[in-house]
Amino acid sequence: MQTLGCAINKLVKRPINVTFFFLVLCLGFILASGQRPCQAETLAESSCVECHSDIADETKGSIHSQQAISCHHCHGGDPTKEDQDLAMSPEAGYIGVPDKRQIAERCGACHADVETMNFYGIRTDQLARYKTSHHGKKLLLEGDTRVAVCSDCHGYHTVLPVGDPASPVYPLNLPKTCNKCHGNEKLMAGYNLPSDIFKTYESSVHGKALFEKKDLSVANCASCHGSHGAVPPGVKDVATTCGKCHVNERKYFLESVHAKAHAEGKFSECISCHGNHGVQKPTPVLYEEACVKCHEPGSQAAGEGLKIHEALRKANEEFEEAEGLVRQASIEGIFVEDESALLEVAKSDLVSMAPLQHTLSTEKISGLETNISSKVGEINASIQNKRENLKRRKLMLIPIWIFVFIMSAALLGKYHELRHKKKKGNG
Amino acid sequence: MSAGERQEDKISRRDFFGWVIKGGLLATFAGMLFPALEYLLPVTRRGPAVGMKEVARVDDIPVWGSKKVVLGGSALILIRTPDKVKAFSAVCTHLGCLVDWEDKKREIICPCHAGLFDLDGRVISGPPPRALPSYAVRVVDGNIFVEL
Repeated sequence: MQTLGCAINKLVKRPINVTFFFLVLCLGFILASGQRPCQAETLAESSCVECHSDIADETKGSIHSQQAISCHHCHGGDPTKEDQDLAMSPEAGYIGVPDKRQIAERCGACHADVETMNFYGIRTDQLARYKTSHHGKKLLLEGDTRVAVCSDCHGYHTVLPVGDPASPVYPLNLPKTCNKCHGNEKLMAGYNLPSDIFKTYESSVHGKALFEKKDLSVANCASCHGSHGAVPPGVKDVATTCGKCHVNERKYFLESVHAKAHAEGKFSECISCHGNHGVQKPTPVLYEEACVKCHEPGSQAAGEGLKIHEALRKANEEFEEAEGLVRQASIEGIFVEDESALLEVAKSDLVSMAPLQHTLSTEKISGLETNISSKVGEINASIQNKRENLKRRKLMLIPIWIFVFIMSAALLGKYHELRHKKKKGNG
Repeated sequence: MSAGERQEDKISRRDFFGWVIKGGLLATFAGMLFPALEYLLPVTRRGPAVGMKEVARVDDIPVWGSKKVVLGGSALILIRTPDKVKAFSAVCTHLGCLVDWEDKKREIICPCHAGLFDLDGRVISGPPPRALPSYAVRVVDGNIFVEL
């Protein structure tokens, strides 16, 4: 009943009638809601601040400070004691700077507690996940203190919410946070891990989208490896990982001839062709480079790949040509609303070729290419027709100008006639 | 040719200018008549408000059904609910594929990368970075008008 004790401690200093009223109210509240309203001493009430005011200042912006989580929750001790020896005595549970194992336990004491976390809407499986991670196993089972624990990623005195752009685990900052250890060549050498992953990721399509376009939805380290339960995805898990975002690519891949090879563990889905950390924006050229990694150049399988390559290249070329034609026609002053709409349909087919090609079905890809070709043909014919119309309209200007000329001549003739009549009348 | 006939010829040549002018003016006024008549046509044929275009009839779309139409050079998707018709851009905000309406799930889906939008065009899941643009719709005498 520590929480009730805290409430009583604080309230005994007040006049008896007020104390009694709040005591009853607090007790009623506890019984009614099951909440624990006095989980912490605030910094203002903590004796720690007397010596550690600099650290107290550090914690001011942290999420814990805002929720009245104070020093003793992590460091132990009794901040209500004025006497330093009593406040920081082993009897008061003082542990000083917690070691890595203690950090996991201390954070987990609240963050794995469903009742405590319920009101913050925070999940409580972080510690359980951490225990399944390579970091957690190394620390908790092997006692390896070089691995990451909560504070290595989230910080300690200035823990910020994940959604705060200044948080080290904010999506934009996360790769750099992981790189603090994973970019350390000496440290990584001990685990036979590469230390250049950040650089590779930074130049990948994901890295560029994150750092250049500030697209927070793009895959970062945690998207594929997990955060608290971080592990390298195995051969069979890669597809699930990539498939979280690339839903259709995965769906179509499972229809492909490679799905069987993948199920037999002979082919690493996604990675075999695209790579992992350094994945680049795929182009049809990938068919020339990736297929021959496993298939003999000139073999039937490599030939099928080249057929898809050719269909993709042709579709791209045709679409770009049609796009240019519509743009040019628009510049010429031709109304191209219908052609723009047809172009949208062709573009839709072109974009859908990207996921569909994972079926490796030349029939399906060629089908889409034929659709695009047909739409491009319609666009060409329509614009050609409109250009002919425009030419005819320009030709129609000739009789109009003749008409204007005749009218002008007739008016001039009439003018002279009237002038002549007037002169004759005056004469 | 007698002097009287020559006189008639001279008069005809004079009158010639008059006939040309009359004919020319008639042709010019006839040309002006078309836009004037078009202006006098009932306003409902043009739309209930400035900028609104008739795109379909309500009867063309079953309740909880959809129809794609082209307006202003771009595809729109019309979705009919029991009490109204909604219009969204049919171009996915991700890479520009044309979206489809899933009447059973009552969601708008992009077939290319599985982006999902709700009945208000908001992104439910998938890669689309923003909602589908929506457009004002009015139904007059069973005709659907959309304002871009």
